[in-house]
Amino acid sequence: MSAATGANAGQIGLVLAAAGAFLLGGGISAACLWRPGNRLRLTAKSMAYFGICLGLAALIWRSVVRGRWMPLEDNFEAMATLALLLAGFTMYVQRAKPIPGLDWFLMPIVIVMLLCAALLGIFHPGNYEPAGIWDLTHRASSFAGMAAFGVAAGVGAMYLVASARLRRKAAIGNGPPVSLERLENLTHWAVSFGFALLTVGIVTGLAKIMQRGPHTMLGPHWITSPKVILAFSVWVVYAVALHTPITPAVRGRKSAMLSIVGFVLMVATLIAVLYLPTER
Amino acid sequence: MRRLLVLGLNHKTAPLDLRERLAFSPEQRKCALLALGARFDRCEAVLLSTCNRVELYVARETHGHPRHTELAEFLAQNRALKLEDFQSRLYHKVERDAVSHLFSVAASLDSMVLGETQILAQVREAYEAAKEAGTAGPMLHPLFQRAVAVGKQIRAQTTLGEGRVSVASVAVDYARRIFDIFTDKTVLSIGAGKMAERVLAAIAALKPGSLIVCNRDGAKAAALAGKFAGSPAGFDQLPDHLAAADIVITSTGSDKPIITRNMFQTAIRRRRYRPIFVIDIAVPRDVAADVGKIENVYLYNLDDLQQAVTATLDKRSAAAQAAERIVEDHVNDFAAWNRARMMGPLIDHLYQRSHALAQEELARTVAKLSGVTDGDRQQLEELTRRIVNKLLHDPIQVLRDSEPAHAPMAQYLHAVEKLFKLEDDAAKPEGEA
Repeated sequence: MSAATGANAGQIGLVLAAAGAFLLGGGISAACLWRPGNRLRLTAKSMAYFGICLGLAALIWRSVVRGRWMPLEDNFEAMATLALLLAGFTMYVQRAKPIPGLDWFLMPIVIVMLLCAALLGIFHPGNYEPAGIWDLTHRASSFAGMAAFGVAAGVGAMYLVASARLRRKAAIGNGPPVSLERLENLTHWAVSFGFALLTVGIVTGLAKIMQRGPHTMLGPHWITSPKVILAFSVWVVYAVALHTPITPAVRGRKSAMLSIVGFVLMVATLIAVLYLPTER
Repeated sequence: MRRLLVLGLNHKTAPLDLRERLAFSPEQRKCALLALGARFDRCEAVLLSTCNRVELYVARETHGHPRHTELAEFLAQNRALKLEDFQSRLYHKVERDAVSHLFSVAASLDSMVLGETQILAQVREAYEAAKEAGTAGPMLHPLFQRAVAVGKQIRAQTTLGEGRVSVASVAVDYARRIFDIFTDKTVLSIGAGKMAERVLAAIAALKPGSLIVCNRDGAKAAALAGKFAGSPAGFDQLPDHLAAADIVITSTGSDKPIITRNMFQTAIRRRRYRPIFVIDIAVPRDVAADVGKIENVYLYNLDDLQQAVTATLDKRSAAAQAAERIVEDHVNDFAAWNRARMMGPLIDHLYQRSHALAQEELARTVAKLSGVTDGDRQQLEELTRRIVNKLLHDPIQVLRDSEPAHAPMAQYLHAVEKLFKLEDDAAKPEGEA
């Protein structure tokens, strides 16, 4: 990583405001449970869109200050971009074919990511090395993959809750039904997409190592570095989760749990990249 | 002045066979409305006829016709019934009570199944029919439009219409929470009784890919399968069908469970652990209770479904209070609006007529006097204007402040019309809302 130049207070403020907007939107959305009404629902949706706008404004501002338009050049940008990708996906699904309650499972991940972006922006900006084609592809595919895994984890958690409610024979409300089948399909789709991106990320990472030899930040013993081991573990977990349609043993709840475990491992990989010691 | 009244009977006052005999088809309703309009001039009418009620909403001149006895006779003649057969079952309400009744009906507070959703569409349909027949006028147009709005508001703002109130519809709701697409699903009915048919009918509405009826009596299985474009099957093929089915409805009269855990475990393995929804509506149960513990099996028995129905009804009862408050607010609003609408033109007319009379008398007096200057004339005009205003101020204020609770509004205004002879050329209330 090159010399760190962190995000300025305004950009961090915008990202925090975005997190606040998502939080407020989530609160209003939850309030709809007690006081159903179009006005509240519309306000909750508006807050989410407002949050996305605030986050985008922070990224654009950052790009203008840096004089380069490609995001993913430091930890702050990477994390904020990831959060916005996830938020954007949530809003897209809610617009195209709504899944009531999906935002309650995905938006907390978005909020945590935005808070992490703000903290990293202040304490650990870690500007990345100048990007070559392998770097760029590696970063873009890894982060987009992580966003997809975030979706899979959120939807997987939703599947577990919905399945538990059905087993408990809990009363059902009047809202549009969200079926386990749809949640399972969405999880599978997100895992497939994320898996493809993660594979690209791993291959391009390997290509980078092959190209530079022992001169990457992982050093000559890259094969035993926590980042590589964790990334490979994530890949294996998702490879299993991806095979649910032909592996009956991991159908339904087990598949949902796998997608959550995979995401946790993916987050661990990210933390490993950021904080665990590496050879130089 | 218009007077509103409603005459009718419903599921609380009349048995089903009487309601059936009094019910109107859409065609009969149209003819009845036209006949009523032809018989009673300047009378507005809307006829609401559902399986649970027959109600005639009428707006007429305050002391005009039809009276409620005439409406009852009209109903008897129209349906070719003796008035004595149903007279004691009739209720009639006027003015504010009639408004309150209609709003409660539209809100489904007066329905047999509290919060049912059909009634709002039926109220709207009745209003549309009256519009088409030309029997809805300046009173009933705004009244029914408001009633529909009240119904919608209650549906949106309360939980009165939430949930399902029949075992079959609850089963459908649960099915829709397990499966997204039904066109590739197989429904298996084990047993061919009445209850199975009811649930099967509800599930068949989801348009499943295939439907199998499995019964010991092949003829019964074929008959039920035929109703839903399904295929009959014998009991010996049950394990195969269990493995293929995504939704199983079981309702045999067996004393012991016919589907055991072992049997189901084999089936779920054969179907590669795809989720399966089992609706066991048999008493005693057809499916062993521990089947529900198998992964990806969602087992619901009659008690589970009935509990969901009871929970819905409890929830609706709790929501009814909030709905009643909304109805009350709207009744007050409508009463105030209607009062202002009827009173405004009448008061205007009263002022105009009184001032015209005063001006007439003033002109006659001035003509008899000599040496009246323009200044004097202006003073006299001002004097007469003030006298008229002061004379009218108190009665009009009393009229404006009068509580409808003390005297029906229409009667009050009608009295003013009579006393001041405003009837002949009274300004008509504003048109349709």
